[in-house]
Amino acid sequence: MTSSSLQFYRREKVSGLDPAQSLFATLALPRAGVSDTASALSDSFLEILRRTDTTGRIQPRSASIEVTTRKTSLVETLYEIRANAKLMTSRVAMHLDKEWRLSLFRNLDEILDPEAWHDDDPLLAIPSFETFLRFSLFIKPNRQLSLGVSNQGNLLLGWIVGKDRLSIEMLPQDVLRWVLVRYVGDERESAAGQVPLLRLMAVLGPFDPEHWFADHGAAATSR
Amino acid sequence: MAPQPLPDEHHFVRHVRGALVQRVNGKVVGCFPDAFKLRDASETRAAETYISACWLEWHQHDCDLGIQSVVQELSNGRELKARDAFAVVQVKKMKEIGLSRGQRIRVLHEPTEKSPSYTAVRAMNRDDQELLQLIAAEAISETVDLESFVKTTLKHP
Amino acid sequence: MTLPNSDNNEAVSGQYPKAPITEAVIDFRFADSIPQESYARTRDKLLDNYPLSSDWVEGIASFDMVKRSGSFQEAVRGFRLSSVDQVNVAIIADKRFSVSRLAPYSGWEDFRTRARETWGVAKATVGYRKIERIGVRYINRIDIPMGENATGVEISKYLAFRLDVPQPPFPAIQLQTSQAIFDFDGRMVIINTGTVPAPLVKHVSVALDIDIGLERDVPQADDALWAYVDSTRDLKNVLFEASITDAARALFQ
Repeated sequence: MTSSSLQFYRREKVSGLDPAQSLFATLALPRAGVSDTASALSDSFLEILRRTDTTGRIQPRSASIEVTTRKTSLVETLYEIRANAKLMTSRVAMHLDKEWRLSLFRNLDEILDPEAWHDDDPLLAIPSFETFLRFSLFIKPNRQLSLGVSNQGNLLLGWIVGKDRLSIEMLPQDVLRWVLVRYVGDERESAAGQVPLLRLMAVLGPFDPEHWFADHGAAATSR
Repeated sequence: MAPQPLPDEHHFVRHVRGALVQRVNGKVVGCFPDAFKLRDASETRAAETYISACWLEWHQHDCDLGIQSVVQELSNGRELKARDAFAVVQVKKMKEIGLSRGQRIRVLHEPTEKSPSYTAVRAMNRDDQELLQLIAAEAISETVDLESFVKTTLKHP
Repeated sequence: MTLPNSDNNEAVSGQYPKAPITEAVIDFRFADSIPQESYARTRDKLLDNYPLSSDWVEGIASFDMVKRSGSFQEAVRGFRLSSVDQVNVAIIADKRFSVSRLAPYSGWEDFRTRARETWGVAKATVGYRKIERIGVRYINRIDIPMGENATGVEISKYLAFRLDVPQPPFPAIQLQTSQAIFDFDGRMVIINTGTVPAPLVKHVSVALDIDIGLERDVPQADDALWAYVDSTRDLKNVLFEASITDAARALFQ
């Protein structure tokens, strides 16, 4: 390889002496791509340029500006939430069982159906949905569950096994609020708490979480 | 007229919006605990201090006919959606659960002009998640899916 | 320099059950802008395959600091289309045509067929535009599980494309981003790697981004164009397999 062939791709000559030139002027910023990974890579390179820029030409990353183009209707808002949730799911689709993913999409379409929506229903918070995806891939529950939306707009998960019930509210930033009722013989146990996702199984340990999460005859959440 | 407590052997019917109905494979299996939760203040309303319901036996002692009347009464004041459901709750069980959690829950008939069977369930501790889960697990004798109810029961009076 | 022949290369990328591809892109850049009046027609013809559309709007805000006034102009420069499940995306805007497939990747044949069909419709509506650049880009995200009590992973165990850091004195790398550019017979190959936010709990994620562009002697006729795209995909496979280790391959099973 000779450098002269690569020069063809650089329409502007890059000078090693020009003090106005950024240190990493030869960095090729990716152009095409719509995925989150594409954005993450572009952000990394822009950050490199910014940190090494002594010319003041690269602006610091500013706070995001919300651009409102027009007032959205409820139908559009619910559509946007469903779309964002599905896009978020696609980021980890390679780790998800196809049937599970399609079932999730059907559930989302149902619980976010404008026809079923009350005016004062809270909208599903996407950070809550993100916690749900990470929960699903970490815990890998394969028993059929119910999905709902709490009064705070967080995704609700519910399992009912016989008389026993476990409900978990997905809060943002991988925090879970759980409550359960378990019947052991004639004894009734109930408990509730709020834990980080990483601690969930340890905290639910005394109540045998696999009792709710594992259905040995069912398909997997993840591949 | 002062609010009257519902008889212990009676039931109240709680309207549950679709997002709080638990379904598996499309079939209603119960309610999330949040269905009985006191809602916090929002832009349009103050924080709830009691939950609203309807007295089933005020209408009819037959469950289906009673729910039919409750649906009629509720639909006068609000829009009901196909995925909504109605939780039929035993008053006695509700109070027992409350006592087991240190709460003297009161289930009171507080009729209004538009809602003659209106019932307020008061003195629930708003932060007690276990109370709500126990209500969902033990106090509900039946969860009626509105869409199916309309199709089956209302078509065959 | 001749291209490696993928048929002879034992390590050619096959179908991985959990392929780490987060996005595959076929991207054409034109010498001239697509006429504004053809946007709506082109979008309408593509709605069957891409029912969801949003305008690609360019907004220009201007400020006059002397007069202390500002103005805002907005122009629709194209549109972004996607399938209902959001995984197939087409962007036709200004001087650009691109088709993307997000995860889950459905295989080359499916992606290429869709891209070519979309191109056919766009070209029939917009008319011929000289192509200045053809790009084929595959962005992979390798999600590496951390051990039970581990605080990080040894990326070099998974990526053959790596930084060699003298230790000591350097401790373990916290974050890294790298770019290497190569010339493969006139094609500019950019390999970007870097740690990216991990979507999975207790994982470290590394992007392996293979971006192959051609800006010289760009084929213009459809058959030659798509033959070139096919050959570039073959090159991408060779480069991908050369950039990963068997430990990474095990993650994709």
